[in-house]
Amino acid sequence: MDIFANLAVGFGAVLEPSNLLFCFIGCLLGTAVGVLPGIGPLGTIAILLPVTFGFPPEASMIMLAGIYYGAQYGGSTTAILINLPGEATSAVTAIDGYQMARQGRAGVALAIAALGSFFAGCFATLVIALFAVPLTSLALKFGPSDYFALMVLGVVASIALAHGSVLKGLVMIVLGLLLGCVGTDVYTGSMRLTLGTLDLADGIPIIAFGSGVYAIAEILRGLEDEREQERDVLTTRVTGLMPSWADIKESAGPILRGTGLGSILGILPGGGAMLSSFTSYALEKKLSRHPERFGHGALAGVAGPESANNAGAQSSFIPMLTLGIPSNPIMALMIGALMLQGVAPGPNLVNERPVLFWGVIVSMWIGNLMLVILNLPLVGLWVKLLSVRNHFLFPAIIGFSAIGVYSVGNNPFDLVVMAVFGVVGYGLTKLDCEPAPLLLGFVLGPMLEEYLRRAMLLANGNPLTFFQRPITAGLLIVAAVTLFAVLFPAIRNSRKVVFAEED
Amino acid sequence: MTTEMGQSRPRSFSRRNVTFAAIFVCFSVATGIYAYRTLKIGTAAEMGSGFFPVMLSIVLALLALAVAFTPLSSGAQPLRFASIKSSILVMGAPLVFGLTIQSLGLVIAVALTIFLSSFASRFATLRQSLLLAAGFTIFCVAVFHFLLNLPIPLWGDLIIG
Repeated sequence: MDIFANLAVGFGAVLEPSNLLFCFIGCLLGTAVGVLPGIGPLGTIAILLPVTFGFPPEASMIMLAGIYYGAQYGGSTTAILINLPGEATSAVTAIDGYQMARQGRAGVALAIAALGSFFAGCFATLVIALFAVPLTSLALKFGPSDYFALMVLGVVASIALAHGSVLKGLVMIVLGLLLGCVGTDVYTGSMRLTLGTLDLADGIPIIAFGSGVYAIAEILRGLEDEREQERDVLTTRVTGLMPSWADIKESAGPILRGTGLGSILGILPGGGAMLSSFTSYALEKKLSRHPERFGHGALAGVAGPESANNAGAQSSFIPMLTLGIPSNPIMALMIGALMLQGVAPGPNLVNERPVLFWGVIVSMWIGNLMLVILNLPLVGLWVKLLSVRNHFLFPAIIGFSAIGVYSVGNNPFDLVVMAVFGVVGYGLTKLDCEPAPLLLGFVLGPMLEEYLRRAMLLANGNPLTFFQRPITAGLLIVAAVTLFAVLFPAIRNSRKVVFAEED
Repeated sequence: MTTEMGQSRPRSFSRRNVTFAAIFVCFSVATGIYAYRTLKIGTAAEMGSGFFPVMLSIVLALLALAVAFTPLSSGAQPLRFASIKSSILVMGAPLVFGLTIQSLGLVIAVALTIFLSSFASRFATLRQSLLLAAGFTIFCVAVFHFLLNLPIPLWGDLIIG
C-alpha cells in the first residue's frame, strides 16, 4: 500500500520540531481569531502570509492551514457562550449552543462541539489522503480546455452555493478576473492596465488587495454602530465539560452525518466550512424527531454543524492540493502563499513536493489533536480573550496588516493599494456585494486566461473545441445548468429557505 | 433610504441597484476603452494581450446593466455608514504607514499608525492610545525585527541620515 509510505513521509515532515511548532502556532492563532468576533481566518492568513516568506514552504503551509481549521474550533466557543458567531461558520451553532449555555449546559455544548470537530477533522483528513493521489492522476490527463471548463464550473458553483444576489456575485467574479489581468502579460510581455506605473508591473499585490478588502472594510463596518460593549459572557467558569453517555448517544448521529456532509460539500468548488454548517443544521432539523427543540437548546444543532464546518474546512484542501484550483478565498490565499514560495500549485505538486504535500495532510491530524487540547481544558483562557475591547483590537489589526503588506515587496506603493481597496471593499459592502467571489476571481483570473488562450491556440481559434472534448463539454454543461437553476426563481426560493436559518 | 428598506411595497427598481449599475457600467466602459486602445486584441487562435480584458469589460458592463433591472434582494442591510472621522482615520492609516516607513522607520511608522487610527473609535482616550501605541510598537519590533528578522529598518533615512 502506497498510502502508508506516503503517510510516513508526511509524519516524517510533521514530527520535525520546527514544523510541530508552526502547526501549534497556527492552531493557537486560529483558535484566537476564531474566538474573537470581527477577525477571521481569511484576514489573519492575509496578514501573516508575508511573514511566512522566510519559512520553508512546508512550515508556512502547515501553519496557515492550522489557522483555517483552528478558527472552526474557536468560533464555536464564542457562539455558545455569548451568542455571537466568533466565526461566520459558527453562526448556526449560536442558535442552539447559546440556549444550551443558558440552561447551564455550556460545558456539554463546548465538549460535543470540540469532539465532533475532532472526529470530523480526522475523518476528512483520511478522505484527503485516500483521494488525493487518484485525483491528481486524473487531473494530469486534463487538457487546457478541460481546466478552463473546470474553473468556469468552480466559479459558477461558488456563486450558486453562496448566499446573496446571484447576479451581483457574477459581477464580483468578473471584476475580480479583470483586476487579475493587471500587470505584465505572460505571453507577450506587454504591460496591461497598469495606469502607466511600474509599481503595478507585477500585478495588483494580492496581500494588499486582500488586506484592504477584508481588514480595512471589516473594521469600518465594526465602527458604524459603536456601542459600549457589554458582552454578556454567560459563564465565566464553565463546568461539566464531560458529556454524559446519553449526550454522546444523542450527538453520534449528527456528528456522523455532519462529517459526511462536510467532507463532500468541502470538495465542491465554492464549498467549504460555511456552506457545510448551514446545510447540516437544516438537515438535522429535518431528520430530528423533535424539530421543535431546535432553537431551544437541541444538542444535534450544535453537534451536526460544528462537525460539518470542520470537515468542510479540511476537505476544501482537496481541489487546492490536487488541481491547484482554489474552491474558496482561503484556498485562493493558500495558492498565493505557495506561489510566493516559488512552488507551482497543480497536479504535479504531489510528485515534485511529496514532503510538502503529505506533510500538510498529516499535520491536520496532529493539529486537530492539539486543538482539542487547546479548546477543552483551556476554554477559560479563551473566554478571557473575549473581554478585550474592540477599540484596542482594530488599531492592532491595522498595524499588523500594514507591516505585512509592506514586508512583501518593501514598496510603500502597496500601502496605497491597500487603502484604495479598503475604500472599494467598504463601498461594495454598501452595495450588497460580498468580497469573497471578488478575491476568488482575482486569483483565478490569470489561470483562467492562460488555459483559455492555450486551448484556443491548440484548436486553431475554433470555439467548438469546448464541445468536442467530452470532459470539457460535460463540465461546461453542468456549469450552465447550475447557473440557470439558480437564476430560476423556484429553485432560488428553496435556496433561501436553507439560508433562512442565518437570521 | 427608508423607502428602500420598506418591505411593504416591493419595487422593481431599487436606487441602490441603479447606483451599482451606473458605477460598474462606467468602470467597465472606461476599462474596456483603455484596454482596447493600449493593447493588441489579436485573433481567437492567437489572442493578444487585450483580448481577455476587453472581453471581460463587455461581460461586466452587460451584467452590471442587468443588475439595474432587479429589485433589491430581501436580505439587504439598511444603509449605514461609519462616521467621516472614523473613515478617514481607518482608510488613511495605511497611507500614514506608507509615507513614514522609509523616511522614519518601523518604530515611528507603527507607533504613528496605531496612535492615529485608534481615534477612529469614539471610546479612544489620549492616555489609552499612547499606551496602546507604545505597547504594540514594542511587540512588533520584538516579533518582526528580532524574532522574524524582517529586513525593515527600525529607524529611517531621515533619522540616521
